Amino acid sequence: MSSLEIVNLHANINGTEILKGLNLNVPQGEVHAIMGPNGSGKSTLAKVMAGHEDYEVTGGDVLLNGKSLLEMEVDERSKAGLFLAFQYPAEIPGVSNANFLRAARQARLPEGEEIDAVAFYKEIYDKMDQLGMDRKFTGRSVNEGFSGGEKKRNEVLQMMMLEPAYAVLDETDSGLDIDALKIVAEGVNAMRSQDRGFLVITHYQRLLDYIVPDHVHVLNDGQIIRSGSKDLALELEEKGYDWLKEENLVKS
Amino acid sequence: MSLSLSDLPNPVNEDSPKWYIDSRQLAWQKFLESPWPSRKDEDWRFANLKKLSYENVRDSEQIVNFDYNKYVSNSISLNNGNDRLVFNNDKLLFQSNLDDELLSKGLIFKPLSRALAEDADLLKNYFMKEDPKLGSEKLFNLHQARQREGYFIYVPEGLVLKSPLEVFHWVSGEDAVIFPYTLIVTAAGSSVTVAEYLASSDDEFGLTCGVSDLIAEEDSELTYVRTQNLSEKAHSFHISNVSAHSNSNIKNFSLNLGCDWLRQESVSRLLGEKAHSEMISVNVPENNQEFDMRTMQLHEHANTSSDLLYKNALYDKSKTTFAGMIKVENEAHFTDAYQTCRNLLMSDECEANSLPGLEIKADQVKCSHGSTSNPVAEEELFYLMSRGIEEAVSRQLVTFGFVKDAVDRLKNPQLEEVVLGKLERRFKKIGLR
Amino acid sequence: MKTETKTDKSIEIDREESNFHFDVDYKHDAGRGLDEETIDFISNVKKEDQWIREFRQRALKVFNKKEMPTHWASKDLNSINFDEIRYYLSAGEAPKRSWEDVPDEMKETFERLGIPEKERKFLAGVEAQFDSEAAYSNVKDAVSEQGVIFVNSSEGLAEHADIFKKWFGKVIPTGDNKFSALNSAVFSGGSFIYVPPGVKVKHPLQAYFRINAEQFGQFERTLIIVDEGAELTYMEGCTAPKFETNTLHSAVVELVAMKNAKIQYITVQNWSANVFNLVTKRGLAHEGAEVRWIDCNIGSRLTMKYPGVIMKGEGARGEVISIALANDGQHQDTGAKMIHAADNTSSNVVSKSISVGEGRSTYRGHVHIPKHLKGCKNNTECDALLINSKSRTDTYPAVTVRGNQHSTQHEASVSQVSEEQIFYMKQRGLSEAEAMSLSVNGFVNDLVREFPMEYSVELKRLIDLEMEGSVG
Repeated sequence: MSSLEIVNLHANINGTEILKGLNLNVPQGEVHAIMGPNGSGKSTLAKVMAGHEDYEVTGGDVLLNGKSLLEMEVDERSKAGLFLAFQYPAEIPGVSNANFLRAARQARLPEGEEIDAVAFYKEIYDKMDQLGMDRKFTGRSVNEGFSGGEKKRNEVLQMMMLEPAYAVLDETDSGLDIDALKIVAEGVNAMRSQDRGFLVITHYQRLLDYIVPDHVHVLNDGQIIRSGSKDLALELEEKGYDWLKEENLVKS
Repeated sequence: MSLSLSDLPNPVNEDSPKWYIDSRQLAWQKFLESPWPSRKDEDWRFANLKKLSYENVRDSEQIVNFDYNKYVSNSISLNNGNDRLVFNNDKLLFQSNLDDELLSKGLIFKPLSRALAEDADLLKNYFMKEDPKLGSEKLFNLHQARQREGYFIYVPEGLVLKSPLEVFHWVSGEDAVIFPYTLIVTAAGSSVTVAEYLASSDDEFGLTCGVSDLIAEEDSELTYVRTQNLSEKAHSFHISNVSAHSNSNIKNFSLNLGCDWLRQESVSRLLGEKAHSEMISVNVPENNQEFDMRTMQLHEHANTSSDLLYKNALYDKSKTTFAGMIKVENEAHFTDAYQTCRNLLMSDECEANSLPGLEIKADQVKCSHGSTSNPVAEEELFYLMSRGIEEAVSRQLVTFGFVKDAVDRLKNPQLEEVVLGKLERRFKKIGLR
Repeated sequence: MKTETKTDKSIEIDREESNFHFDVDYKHDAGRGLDEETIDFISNVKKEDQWIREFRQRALKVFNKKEMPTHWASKDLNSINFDEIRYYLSAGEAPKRSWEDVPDEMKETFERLGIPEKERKFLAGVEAQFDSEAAYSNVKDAVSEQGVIFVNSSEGLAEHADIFKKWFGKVIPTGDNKFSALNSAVFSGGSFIYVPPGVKVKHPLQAYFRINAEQFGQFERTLIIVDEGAELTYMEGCTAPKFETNTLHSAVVELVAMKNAKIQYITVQNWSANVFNLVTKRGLAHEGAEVRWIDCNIGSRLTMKYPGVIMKGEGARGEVISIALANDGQHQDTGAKMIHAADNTSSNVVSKSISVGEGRSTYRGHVHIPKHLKGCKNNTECDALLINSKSRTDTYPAVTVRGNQHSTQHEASVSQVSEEQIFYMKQRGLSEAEAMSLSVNGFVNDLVREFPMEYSVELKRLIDLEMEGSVG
């Protein structure tokens, strides 16, 4: 059984507190969506989980299978099973997608064991077909000169190739037209299984029409202020974030 | 290499402070002891050393019948009542009376000889503090030893001068030598623009050996525009030293049209956080003119930036050498430094040498340089001609556009008009080719 | 990156592969130091003609007269003690045509370096030099049947004097620089190649230069003439064991491409950190001919190497593609020299350098387009990558253009691997070092492709090893 727990997480950037005691539990096999207005801390959460050094964790913990991620290096977190699909994927000139993914896969093998190149290419081509990606992409430099949609598909391709225990999708819908969105969502849905969890971070409800969540959480000012079923997303879409902000204000 | 001047003259102002008189004597000693530049000096690669021969030069005398109206009034300048100093052969001819309000705020704008008597202590803090870094110790020492006149501008804290100050240096008579010195200091939060015009009143040979020190203290802005239109027999030697302190912004612009031979050495030191320096130069040599230009962008502090653009349009048998160096010292991380030299080759006999250099000792920097040498692009000519413009006219249009692009960086419409006016006159003289 | 660690450890591991040496009983040893007698000794061993004896003695005078070029080059040159160096060491036997005949220590040396295996796999011919002389030299029958000559320089002098003498010292005169004069005085070994008109040699010819002895100087001399319309790819590899004392490698390589000929000269050097590598390389390209230098410089204490092309005939082309990696205590001072001497000639220079730890890489370029020519083009790009905060890079190009019918373009940039890139790759499970290696390989990737497949794999491995431990 794997599990992902975020416990009373506090984090700063340049001395400004962004996450202010965030609690979240994503059991294995479930898809959780985090929604929230701009500046609520959504992307910070993703970066903090992955271990970006610009962010300082000042309290709380993130536990994967009961083990704290916070003491781990960025790559160790990845190998432990955490995958982050970036909102703005980096461009890496001169490094081909295929070589990059091979290196990432190789990093997961025990020392002395080599990747089976033939099987690797077969697998990557199958998955690219599934995502409607041209096979020429394997030879192109990682994300260099890619359109917004191509970058996001590439993120999903990497997720499919690395088969994480938990995937965090940071605004994967931004910059995508509806056709690309469908393809990306299909890729994600194909990855849904009993032993994998998802945390889907999004500003708009639209993505959740295609990746249907088990639970929806609303993030505001660094805390989860409301959790509910997928219907919460629809309600939010209709009433706007201010509705919850006000309600939260009244409560506190 | 030789020089006919053999003894050290007294300073113009007999009451000059002792430190000043001593510094001249020391410089003269150094001048006599140091060797002339040689073939082996990397800083003189591609230079025509044979040109450095001055057998008949003599300390110039003021030409008594220098016609102020003829020369100064007819020269292209701002001409709208700006405060100005006018020198002929290193002697003051004219000085406008500064506004009382500016004087009371502490603005200094006066000839060096007067500043030595009246503001010696302040002057001493800034006077010739920079050693030459690009190979001309010998000529630098010659300048310091024989310096007679020049000017000192001190813009006190917080004073922002809207209107540019102007300085004219005229050279007259055969074999005249001048050693003009420029010292401009902008104190914290102040701002000034200075236009300096160097020109000959005749077409004789003369030698100009000048030094300009430009110092911008914290949060200040300094723009220095120097135009050189000496006779085509003249030689000119000029060193400019920029010191940019934190949050300051210095623009050092030069236009070179005259001279048989010139050497221009420009150094920008970036000394404080967020200091920024721009170095811009436009050069249009023709006939057998030789322009030798050396630059250095010296980043000594983290988070500084510099940008250099030199544009040369070469006609006839003219020759240019551009040697630029971006130096990033050990601790100067997060430096942004750019250096571009573009040569437009206008004749089959011109020669352009480019030596764009980098020395980087810190990481996390963004540095690049580019240098190109090309004739006027065929497709540009074709486009203009397809609209019915004659080839020679099209060529000149493209050339004018090429240099104007650098002038635009002045971002000061009045000054751009002055510089473009001088360029228009230049292109008219060159004619349609 | 902000973090600093010593890179020494990983390099030791890397160099282990070529870091071994044998105690060889040299039959001919010219002793230490250099004077007229040293040269007589070499000429006597080689049983040379009078003209070449005189050529060597004249060169010695030029060498003694010329000053060290320290007014522009590294002062580290002054650390070379010419009196301590051994200028000639050989077993006194002619190169063998079969590996079985090669003396054991030498055979084992080259086997450990994988030379016979490479020969079987993809080479048309191999020469393997051990200290001053070739131990093995063979060219496949199919190639020699086409009239291709591939021998060492002594054999070239003795057996093919007519062609040899015509071009020897013509592309690089003795007095070109202090080290070309030194080589001219004491040269030994190196290749002499002649490719007859129209012959396109399908597979590369390869020379391997191995230094075995301590405090030794290797001075091979290579002369390659590719006749009209012919084509050749030549590759050289160089290694030496690591000693406490300094080793000197100072070669002269002259290439002559006749009308419409093509020469591609590929170097992969992986010198140990005690080697001064001071090499003069130049090609002469006649009408319509092409000379390409493809160069990878890893290791050595100081490398000074500026391959050049003189484009003498109309439409000739010159190219230099180079990768340099400078680690702690190393200075890669490399570049290119492009001399345009005919109409419509074009040259291209692409240089990429990586400075790791306290390593320093320098690019020096010289492009010359004289008067009264038309239609000449040069393009130069040099990019430097700085890995650590104490890494250093310099660029000193010089471009001269005369006349208005030419076009030149020079661009240089300095960059580093961004923290964002590293973070991205680490998120995918790569260690920081692996991510750094990938980025560095990406930086040089377009140039690595210019090397033959067998070499590009080797190159990537070398770069990975050099990068290990550079971050932490």
